[in-house]
Amino acid sequence: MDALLSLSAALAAGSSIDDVLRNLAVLSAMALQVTGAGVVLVEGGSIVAGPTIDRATEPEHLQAATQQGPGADAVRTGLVVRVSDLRQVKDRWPCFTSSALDHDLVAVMSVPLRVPAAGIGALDLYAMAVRDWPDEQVAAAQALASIAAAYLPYASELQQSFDVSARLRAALSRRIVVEQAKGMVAAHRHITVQEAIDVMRNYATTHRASLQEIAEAIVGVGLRPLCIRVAMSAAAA
Amino acid sequence: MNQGGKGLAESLSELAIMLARGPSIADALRSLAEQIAALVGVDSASASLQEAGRWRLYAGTDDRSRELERSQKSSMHGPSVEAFRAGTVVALPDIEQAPPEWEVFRAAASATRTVSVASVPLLSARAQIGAVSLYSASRRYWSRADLDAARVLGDLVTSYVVTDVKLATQQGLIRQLREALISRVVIEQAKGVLAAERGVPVSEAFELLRGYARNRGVTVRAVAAAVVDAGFRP
Repeated sequence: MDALLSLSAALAAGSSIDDVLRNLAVLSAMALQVTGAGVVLVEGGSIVAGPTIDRATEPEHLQAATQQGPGADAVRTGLVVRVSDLRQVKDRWPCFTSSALDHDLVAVMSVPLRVPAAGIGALDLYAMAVRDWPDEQVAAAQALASIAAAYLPYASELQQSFDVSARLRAALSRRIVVEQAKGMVAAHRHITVQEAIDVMRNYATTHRASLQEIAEAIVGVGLRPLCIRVAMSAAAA
Repeated sequence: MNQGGKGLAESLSELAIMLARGPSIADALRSLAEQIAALVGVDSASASLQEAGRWRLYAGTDDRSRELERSQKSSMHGPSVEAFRAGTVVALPDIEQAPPEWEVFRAAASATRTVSVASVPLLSARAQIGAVSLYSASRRYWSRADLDAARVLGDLVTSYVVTDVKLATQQGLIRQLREALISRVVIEQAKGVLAAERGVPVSEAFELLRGYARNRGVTVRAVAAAVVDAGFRP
């Protein structure tokens, strides 16, 4: 219950997705007293490795690289995968299993993270001794996984909207500088702003600079349209 | 914790599935009340969002819980209000023992044959945003497991509510930025024209545009367009 309370409090406090997934791995490992844990996520139809702890790092990354492992199966089937002794099933996921055994991880359980439409990831838990993964341990892991799974859809929607507004804000500040520079060039050369943009583009091309850099020089550090005219004439000559 | 015949894992999973569909805040609160009532096995439950001194929204599993929320909304006293205000759990096996200022709530409890109540605050990063309340028609000594279960399910819905508010803010901001990308083009050009002609900083050029627009009762954008397209000078 302490693990559930800690994880759910992290959600309510508005933690980042990364922090919530790391909490999921750490708190599950503590609650189930296992040695390694990791979270895999589905991105663009593939399994990618998320946060991992302790010895689980290499097997988790191999699972992502080969798209084969208990987490991949849990995502695909939506069912819990329990392996009490990996040495008994070496052929099931050869790369993953040999890496896990290299790190003395003998037993593994994967619990899917699900939303109504699809599997969005899995929680993988590893033990260093043979373990049968009794139902109460499965239920404990599922409760933790459900909390994280609930958070992912709306938290990632919020994250995307933060990304969009950050991009728009950057675009706006670039745009402001370019438009101001157009106005300055137009005023100095007594031409229209449509003509001013051509002057700036030509100057940028001649000097192997971007339009943005030219605009910033005009507005910010006093590169003057008069100088552009001289430079343009020189370039033309 | 399992009197309702359901496990916490199952309740969490059902609530998670519900939230993934993007429900209204009212529906999310109703689901919270229903899940917690079924999980801890009580007769009624409600969830409310509050702000300092007033009720924003509440939802209940039945008439009793809605009546008990209403009584607190009108009097601003009772377990949900107290859990919200103090940010701590209020657990009362016998509502008769409630403080005197809960008179209205106590009368409503008596009228709806409600004996015991527990209210758990909904806590976000910095503040309480509401409470979830459990009501029992028979005397109930609330267990740690009951209250913890309410906290965990409540946290899930709290994160949903808080995210929803942030999302609405972000979407408003995105709309404004998109509009600004179009509407500011001509204004920035006019600022550039005036700044270059008069040798003043662009901030001062903007003041020229704004001052003129304000005095004539026209928009800055209209003045800017006249500067850029018609050679007008304020």
